[in-house]
Amino acid sequence: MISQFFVLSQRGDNIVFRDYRGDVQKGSAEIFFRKVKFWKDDGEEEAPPVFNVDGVNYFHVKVVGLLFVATTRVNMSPSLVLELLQRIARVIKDYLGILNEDSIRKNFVLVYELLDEVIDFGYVQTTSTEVLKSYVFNEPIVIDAARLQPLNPASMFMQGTKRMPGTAVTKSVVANDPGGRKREEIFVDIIEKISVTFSSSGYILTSEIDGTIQMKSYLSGNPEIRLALNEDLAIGTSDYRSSSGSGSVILDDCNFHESVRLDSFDIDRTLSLVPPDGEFPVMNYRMTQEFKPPFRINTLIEEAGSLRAEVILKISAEFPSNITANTIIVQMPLPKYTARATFELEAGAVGQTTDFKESTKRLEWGLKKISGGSEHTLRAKLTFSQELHGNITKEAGPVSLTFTIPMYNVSKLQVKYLQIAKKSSSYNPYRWVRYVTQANSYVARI
Amino acid sequence: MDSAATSSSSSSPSPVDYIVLLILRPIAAISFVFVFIALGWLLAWKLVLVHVPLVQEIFGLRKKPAKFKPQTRRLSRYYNSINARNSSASGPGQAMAPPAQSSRNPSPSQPSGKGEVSDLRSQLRQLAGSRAPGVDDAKRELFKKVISYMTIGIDVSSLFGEMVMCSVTPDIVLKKMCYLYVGNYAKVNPDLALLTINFLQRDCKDQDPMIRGLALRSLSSLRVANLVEYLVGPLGSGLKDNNAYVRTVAVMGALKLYHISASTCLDADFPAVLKHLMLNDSESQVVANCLSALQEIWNSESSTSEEAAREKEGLISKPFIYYLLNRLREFNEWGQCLVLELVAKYVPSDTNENFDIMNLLEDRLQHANGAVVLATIKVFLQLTLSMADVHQEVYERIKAPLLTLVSSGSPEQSYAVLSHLHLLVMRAPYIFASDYKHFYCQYNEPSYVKKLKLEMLTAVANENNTYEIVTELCEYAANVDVAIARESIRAVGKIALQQYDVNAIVDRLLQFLEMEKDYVTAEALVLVKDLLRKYPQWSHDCIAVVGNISSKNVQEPKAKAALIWMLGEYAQDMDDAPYILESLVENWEEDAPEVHLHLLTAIMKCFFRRPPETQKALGMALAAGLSDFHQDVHDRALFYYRLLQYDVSSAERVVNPPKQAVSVFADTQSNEIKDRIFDEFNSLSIVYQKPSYMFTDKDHRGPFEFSDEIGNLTVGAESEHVVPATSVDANETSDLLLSTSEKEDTRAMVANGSDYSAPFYDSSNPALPLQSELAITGLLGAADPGPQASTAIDDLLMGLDLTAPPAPASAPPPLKLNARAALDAGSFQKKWRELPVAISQECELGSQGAAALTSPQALLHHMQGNSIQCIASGGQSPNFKFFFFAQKADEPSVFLVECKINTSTTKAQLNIKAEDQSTSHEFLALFQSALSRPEAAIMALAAAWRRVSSSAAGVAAQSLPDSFRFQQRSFCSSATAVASADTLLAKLLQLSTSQIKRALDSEDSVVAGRSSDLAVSDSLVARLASSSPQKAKLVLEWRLERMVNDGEKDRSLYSNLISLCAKIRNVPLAMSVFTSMEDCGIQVTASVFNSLIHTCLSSNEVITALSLFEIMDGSETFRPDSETYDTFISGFSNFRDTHRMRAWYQAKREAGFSANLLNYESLISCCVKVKDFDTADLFYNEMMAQGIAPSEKVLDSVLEGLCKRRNCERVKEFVNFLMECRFEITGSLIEKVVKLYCELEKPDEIEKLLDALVEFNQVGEALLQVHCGIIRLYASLDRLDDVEYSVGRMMSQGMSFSSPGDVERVISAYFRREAYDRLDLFLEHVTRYYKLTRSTYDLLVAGYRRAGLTEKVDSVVKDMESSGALAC
Repeated sequence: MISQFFVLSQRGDNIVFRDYRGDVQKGSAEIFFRKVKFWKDDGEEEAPPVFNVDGVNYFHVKVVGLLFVATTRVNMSPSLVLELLQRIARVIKDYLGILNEDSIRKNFVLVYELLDEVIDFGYVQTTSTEVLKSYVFNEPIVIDAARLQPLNPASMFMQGTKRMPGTAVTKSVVANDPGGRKREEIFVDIIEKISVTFSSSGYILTSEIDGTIQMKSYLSGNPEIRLALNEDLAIGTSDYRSSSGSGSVILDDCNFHESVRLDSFDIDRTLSLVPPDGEFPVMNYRMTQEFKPPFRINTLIEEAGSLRAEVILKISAEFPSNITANTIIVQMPLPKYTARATFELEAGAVGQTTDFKESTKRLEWGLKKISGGSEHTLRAKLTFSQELHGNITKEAGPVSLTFTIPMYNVSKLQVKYLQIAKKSSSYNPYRWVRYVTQANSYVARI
Repeated sequence: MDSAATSSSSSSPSPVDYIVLLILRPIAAISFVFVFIALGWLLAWKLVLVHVPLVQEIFGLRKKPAKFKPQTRRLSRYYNSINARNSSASGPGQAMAPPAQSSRNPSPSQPSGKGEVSDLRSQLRQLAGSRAPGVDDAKRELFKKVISYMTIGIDVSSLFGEMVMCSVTPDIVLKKMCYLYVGNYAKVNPDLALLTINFLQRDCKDQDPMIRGLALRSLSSLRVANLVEYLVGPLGSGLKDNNAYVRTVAVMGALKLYHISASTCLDADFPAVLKHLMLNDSESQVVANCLSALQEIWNSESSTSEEAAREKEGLISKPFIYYLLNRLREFNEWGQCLVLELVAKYVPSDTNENFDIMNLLEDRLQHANGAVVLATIKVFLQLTLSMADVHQEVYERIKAPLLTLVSSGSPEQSYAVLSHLHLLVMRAPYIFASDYKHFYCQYNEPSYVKKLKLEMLTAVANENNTYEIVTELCEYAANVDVAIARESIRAVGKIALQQYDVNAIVDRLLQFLEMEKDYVTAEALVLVKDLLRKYPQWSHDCIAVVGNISSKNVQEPKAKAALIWMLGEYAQDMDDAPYILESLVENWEEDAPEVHLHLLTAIMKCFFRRPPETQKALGMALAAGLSDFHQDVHDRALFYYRLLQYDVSSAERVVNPPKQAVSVFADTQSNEIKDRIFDEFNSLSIVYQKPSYMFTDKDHRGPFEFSDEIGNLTVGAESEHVVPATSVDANETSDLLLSTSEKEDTRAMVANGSDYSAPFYDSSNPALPLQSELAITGLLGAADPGPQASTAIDDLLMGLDLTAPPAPASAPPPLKLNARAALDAGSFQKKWRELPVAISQECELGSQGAAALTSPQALLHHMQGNSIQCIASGGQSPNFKFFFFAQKADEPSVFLVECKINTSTTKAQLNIKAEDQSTSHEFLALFQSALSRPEAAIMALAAAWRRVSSSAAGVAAQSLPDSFRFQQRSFCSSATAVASADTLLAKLLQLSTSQIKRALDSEDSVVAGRSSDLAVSDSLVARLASSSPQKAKLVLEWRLERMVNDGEKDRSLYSNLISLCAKIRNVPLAMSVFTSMEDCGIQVTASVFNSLIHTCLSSNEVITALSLFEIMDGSETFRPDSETYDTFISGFSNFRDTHRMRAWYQAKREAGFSANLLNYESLISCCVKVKDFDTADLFYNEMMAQGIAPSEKVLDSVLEGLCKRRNCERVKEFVNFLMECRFEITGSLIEKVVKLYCELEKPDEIEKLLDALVEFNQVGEALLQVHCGIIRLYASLDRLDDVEYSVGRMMSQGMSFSSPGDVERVISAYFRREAYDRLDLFLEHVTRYYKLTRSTYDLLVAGYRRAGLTEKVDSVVKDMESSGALAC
């Protein structure tokens, strides 16, 4: 059972605080924040999500810079509490449209109302937005979407593809549109996070795709939905029958949201479900099947005298030219004794930034967009504060990359169709099926 | 000008006049009229229209708060009465006036809020009684303000009355806010809370179920003790409400009531109502809440009430668990977690039930919620605890879902799952060995995740993946994150200590030392030290590198201590060791006490080896140590000083005895703790890696957690023993738990049989470490009985495993016990409570003893035979618990023993309490010897076997396969796919363990235990043993079963089976073969015993082997023969225990047997391995003198010895001798020589060797080795011309490179000299005969890349792709 729940801002302010059992002292938020901020245990820089101070167990998750914290004195399942905290954050987001400090402060009464229904006397009651809708009566005050920070995760859908309504993802599930009429639409996002490690000679050492099919439904009347995936989809590496085909998609493993019914999944790879309100993952999957990495990275370090070296970074985009990757950031740790770095971009470079972070000795190269098939190079001249000894490649690297590629997925997993079962012929809601590939850990060793 | 102006103004109308006349006057007139009209309207508005609703509507006046007159309203009377009560409750002198009230509760923290609070109050008052339309919106705004103040921390409790009053409204939003407010302040202001009762109670009867529910929740959340009487009624009706929401709230309400006042809750009989609801309600959330509530209530009641305890048991009864499981799908995910948590406690009555439950729950593993998946896994693990093979399959099954969870959630969620995965990996690393890539760290992961992953990588390392894992770890060592870099270096070290492919790893560790990063060097030093303690044979390689490290670059105390230890230990190998030590002593002040202690010891050691050089340093060190402030340092210095004064040679024996390699480093966590953590799967214990009693607060811990345990313990025990065990346990468990946790720190390496001395040992031999040291310490004690000296002796001896030698079985201590002692349960209990724990110790059981415990009854009889009585026992495999007592023969003083035995780890945890403390140690020894005496255990085993064997085979064959629907569906797909595979081996490897026996049954003809097929099945087992010992064991068990069933009488078959057991190191199985052999009436012979001893020795069970020997020695028919001694000699040779090996050799000769070639092989190879070269030479000469022709192995060992001594001359002599005597020179033999020459960089010698080989017409492997050696040496000397010449020479003799390493060395040499064209030529030349490997390609690519030759890189990559090296 959970004793307390609270939300802290980045500075440690109490935004929301709810005590359910009264068996943990009131100052717990402060104790927690101090502990997290000055965590230096065992050489670890970061506080683990679960720790114990004087018999009180603190659980926390970080969501958009806010700390969602729960405390308890009993030996609970850590997974349950952390999952719950994540779920509370999601419910709040469903209601408020946008989750940040401002929106919570503006809607704190609603948040309290939600918290009362989600947890009673420390026991979880429900975290389904759908169910909560019948118990919660406060209207959300939706904050202006225009004031959104540009780095919100939702922003990845807003660039490049004009036909996508940018506000959709930040729309509250319960609040009505200003027009009064609710727009009938459903979003299905296939989000894939890829992890690739290249060896120093450029081969792929490890690669993995962690994907999720996320759904957010604004359909009235909760109609049933059928979602068809690739027919050649195979699950589990032991599935011999299907692995023979070369073009097939083989997932290592997957799991499903509880609303998903898998009756016909084994036959024709369709999932049927009645989507509850709010955002939820329909299916999580993981695959280690080989795929073509979207970027190749070439790094060359040349020593030029004992106090100088030149780094040449080259990234080439290996995806179709009609696709554009956004907000690419290339990072590379440089030797500790690097004093200065000057950069030389290729001729005619647009929207590229370079930076040398003095404190962390890290090179940062940002590119606004890269279109498929293109190649970009950066030359950096390094000056060292002490003479080189030993191998410079041992002191620098690895090069890491973060990026977002909309309308592209590497796994070839596809939603073939999205069927909404509703009798009326005039009923034709908007259906958005979107693909996004993001870098999780994209690293090239040098 | 003047007059004109005036006349014009008077006579004729000026333009001004016109303006006045024509414009101003009409305006004045019109405005006058308008003013009139406006006044009229205003009057009308003020007097009439304002009060007309329609007009308000039109003009939008609704939202404006209008003035009201509360006095005339009914509600305001209510309000007044509240105020009156309010003021009377809080004392006299409180005026009715609001401003005075605000001063009653001034906010201490936020004085600025005071004005605003009173402002709010007046506004609330205004709104309070209004029923006017639009007033609700205004109230909402105000309420929000109040609550926002409340959350910021401003005390708004003074508004209580107004808030309550305002909430008399049908608006549910307002009500909710008010409830929130009330709930927050009720506890601090119980008097105020009373005010709310009235309207809350009324709301509880509202028509709207939402309001009923809300009111009930608020009412029960008030947490005020004196209000409970108002709570019972609404709760009772709430529990019967027809709306599910109200019922869910009411159930929680009942629990809240229990916490406010348990007696009220129980008196109202709410638990019974809840139980009824739980079993009948249609709404799953109600059921879930009932379950939570009842668990909490009954748990805390069960300590006092029999009935509650019974009810609590009822929760895990079969009908109830089935009821919940059947409804499982109705629950939401959190409810499912709750139910699964309960199901994990349920113990099914038979295996069918197990599989039913598992089949039912299997799809839960695909749930997206990690908590549900983990709860399901817990059920699976608990259900299969007693079924080893299925348990393992569960691990296989849950692997994929866990990995998916780890990669799908947020870092925090994946951390929680990863901790559990970590636990499973630690328990069964071999299952996860092929998934090691999943545990690679990603650069952006938080360090807490990385740390877990590194530990898992360490655990899963085995022969197949070590290379890749270590390569990956080395990448992390250069990581920017220093903590992780350190962690990964430690991981490399741990893998090195696990003895997989040590050679390559040692090189890597040594590379770390050369990386010139402080922290890397520091960590690597500590590791190299540990490595040398376990594998002294690496000293040569390591010391060469360590010698190059300047002690000035090492700052961390631990690393410094490690360096100093090595300097001391290998003083003879490092030329400047004394001088380095001396310089360290000169800077004495800079170091920590830890370093000082090591420094003193190291200098002592160095002194004994190189006295003249060290004398000065020793003097300085002792002087500095004696004047040190640190007590330990001072004591040690003083101790050494007196020791040296007493006698230098005995000092040497104390400080610098011959070292034995450490076989296993002590585990930081005992198995008991690990099992306890595992039992608490899916809880915080996993994340913290400690059992819950170590971190949960005692005050807040219910007493029920222990009673849980007892419940498990007593299941399956015999009924007459149950009651005392339970009662004693309940009183004592907490103490015992504490004592085990404290012991964790002090429990160092308890001797696990390695200190056991061999029989017939020549005790005059001064090299025997244990006894001679005892003698010395005794002498010292006599010479100088000062307390400091003796403490220092303890200090010193700590590292020598002297803490707890097990009592020798042959010589029981002189303590006599009363064979007919009696003690009733009551007085046992009393004594147990009164007496302190005298001794608490963990001891090894020996696995045959543990195997005997498959029936605890056998142990009880056995202990009774030793005059130790059992008063209570219980437990379930693998954990058993016994309470024993014994009485002295001549006096009434008793000993009480609590003995926890874990059969899977074969450890026993003893807690002994004694009335006569002085003899408790003797008793411990007696008890242990009784417990570990193997012949008795074998007898017990035989008894158990006789009973079980008849039924077991049948049961195993029938009941299991029937109920295997569960695995068939999920695990069998792979098996069917490869059904076409031709060999049985491949089939067995593919099969899951549980199906092996069945498969064997069907393949009867191939492996039927007939002698003709023996060879087939031998090789089968041998090959299986390497890949899966578990399966090999099953095959052997199956064969045994068949043989027993067939009534096989052939002794050699059994003997053969036992020696197969040695291959899989399974003593219990060998024992059971032995007993079933006896059962079949076959006469045992010495050779059977020899096989048994061999099995024991190869499984490291020295004590058992020795006891077997004693049995043989005492018997008539199977006296030990020559082979027996051989077995022991080779066994100890494998342990590298020269002393005992020599003792056995001695014993063999004394027994009248002559030594044979085999003995010499063992003796010489062992001596060489522990670097006792002189003894090795001695044996070699002895063997030659006896005319025994040396075998290849002997020659190999001798040569190795010579090489290790780096004695070039003698090596040369020896090789020449071999060639002259026409011995066959093998590759491995010559490899050693070549390696030596390469190290010494003597190309001429190798060339000579080559000539000699050619001269003596030696061909093949050896010649190739020499060729490669020459090339290697030239390559490392960068003599390219010579390299090319020798390559050409080798090729011309029709030979090509044998290992990629040599080719790479040559390539590196080219790169170093930047001779790229020559490299091309070389490659072209070489690739004709030799296929390049992937690592070579890697090297080429890296080299070219560094040189900036991109086109070369491309062409190499192309080559590689075409050669197919990329694929592998």
